[in-house]
Amino acid sequence: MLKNVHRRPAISAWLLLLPLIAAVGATAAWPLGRTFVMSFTDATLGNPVTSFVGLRNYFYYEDGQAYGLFADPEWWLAVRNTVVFAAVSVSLETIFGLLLALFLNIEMPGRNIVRAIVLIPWAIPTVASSKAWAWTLNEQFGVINDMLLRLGVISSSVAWTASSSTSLLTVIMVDVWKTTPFMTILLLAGLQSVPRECYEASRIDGVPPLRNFFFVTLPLLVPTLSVAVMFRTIDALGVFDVIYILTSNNPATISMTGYARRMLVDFQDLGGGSAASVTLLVITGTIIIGQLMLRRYRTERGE
Amino acid sequence: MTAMRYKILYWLTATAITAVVLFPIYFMFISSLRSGAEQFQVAYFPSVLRLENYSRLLTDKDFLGALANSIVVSTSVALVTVMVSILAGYAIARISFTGRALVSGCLLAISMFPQVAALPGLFNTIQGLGLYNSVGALIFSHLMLTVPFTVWVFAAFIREIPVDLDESAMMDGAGRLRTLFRIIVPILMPAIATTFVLAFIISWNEFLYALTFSLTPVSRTVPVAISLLSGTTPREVPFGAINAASVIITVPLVIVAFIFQKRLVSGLSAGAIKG
Repeated sequence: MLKNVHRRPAISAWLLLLPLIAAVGATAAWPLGRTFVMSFTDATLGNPVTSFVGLRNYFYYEDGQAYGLFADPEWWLAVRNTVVFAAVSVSLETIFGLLLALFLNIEMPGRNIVRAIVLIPWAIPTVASSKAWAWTLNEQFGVINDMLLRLGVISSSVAWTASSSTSLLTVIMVDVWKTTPFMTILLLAGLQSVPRECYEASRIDGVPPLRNFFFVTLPLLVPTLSVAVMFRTIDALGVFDVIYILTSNNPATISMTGYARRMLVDFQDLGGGSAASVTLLVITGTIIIGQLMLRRYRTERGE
Repeated sequence: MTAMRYKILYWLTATAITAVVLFPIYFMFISSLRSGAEQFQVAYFPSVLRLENYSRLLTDKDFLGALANSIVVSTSVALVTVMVSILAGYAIARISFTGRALVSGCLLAISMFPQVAALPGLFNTIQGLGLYNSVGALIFSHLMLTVPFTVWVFAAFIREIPVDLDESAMMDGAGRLRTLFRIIVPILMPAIATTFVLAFIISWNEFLYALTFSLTPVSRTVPVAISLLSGTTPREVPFGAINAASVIITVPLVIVAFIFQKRLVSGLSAGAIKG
């Protein structure tokens, strides 16, 4: 009897979790497992009957020639593009997000309107905002070229999204516009959890605001900052829509996700697309685990 | 005087931020009002007010179909997400059982992996279920994006409710489900609304799965339909129509962002920070 009573909470917990387990199992765990398994097979979209090919989708050597994902220069180009994209856009978003969060934290009647406006780029569909940016950046009819020409900054129209020297920078700029709000929201929440007495004490002591920021606010914000940067980095490494809408599958900007999707949809290569997906997953997983270990190490040291 | 100066400086900065935020949206709107040869010109102000693009889109069978698909997919995803999250969020926040840490750990891991990692497997699964090129495929795949995240948000919100409330209800003999739906759910109504809106936005804006799992207008959502509006030469691209379609799917979300601003902010940060 007694045992039964003790076990009841556990049973009701698992019953309540049943829909979650069903949903996540079917839509996430199973597909993820399938991706992993298929990355070792020669599966194609049209052919469900497959055979095991070992690591051939990743890498193999034959007659002095290397094949597979890791031997494909286009894959390494996609890796480079994605890493540059993630590093630059997340850095810029962190800086702008921090500045915006500090600004929005100022007590001022009417600041809720500003907060709502800042939220807009995050809330609207990426396809719509990317198309809008593509329009303003258009080589012939876009306002950005027109303004820069009139101001004398450039002497002839620039094909921002098509030219390989500007396209990566352009998608980064659009992404910064789109995702800075997310960073701002997280950092604002972090700022609001910093006890007010902390600033006030140092302000009364006559500490200048900038010093106050670097020695009081920033250290208290570090936990939030590291979580936000990790979230954004993971997200940025999986980037697809901004790049696809602005530049299609252009090799100068194609991301790892774009590469995997192209293998899957354009080349019908389920095995190869899976191998690329698994590789991206491993890269992301390494970053998450590294970050978690760093955090544990810090808490153990009592920081 | 310094207070006045401070205020002016504040609102000048606010105006500059607003200008940067609204820059592409403003030009999207101007372009949406221009059709024919006018759309291939640089324009800073709306010189003519032509609603041709809108009237053409809103009578176009494929576009209306895409709009209906978007609404059906996002609403279904949001409803299922909320149902699943209430039950699971309550279990994680309130019941201590072996495996609780494992469940929350798995959810966190799943909500962080890159979308494309599941793409080949999802493609395979969706084909196997006979859902390819159907609205069902999109509802199915979007649940992967919303559920793990919103369960976190819910658990965080439920933890903020005093435990005494449900404990006293259970003392009075109410079962778990009764306690959940009679005591917790009414208190959670704002959180439920927030989660619904968050899931709706994620699904409404989703592009990678929507693009990959649809082949014909039957299952296209508006973002996919917009991405397919193009031309082979710059003079053939229907800029007016693209921008009008973008306005149509953007406006509802801007309104939602304004209404739910505070709640969305607390929902997002609850999921990210408290988790």
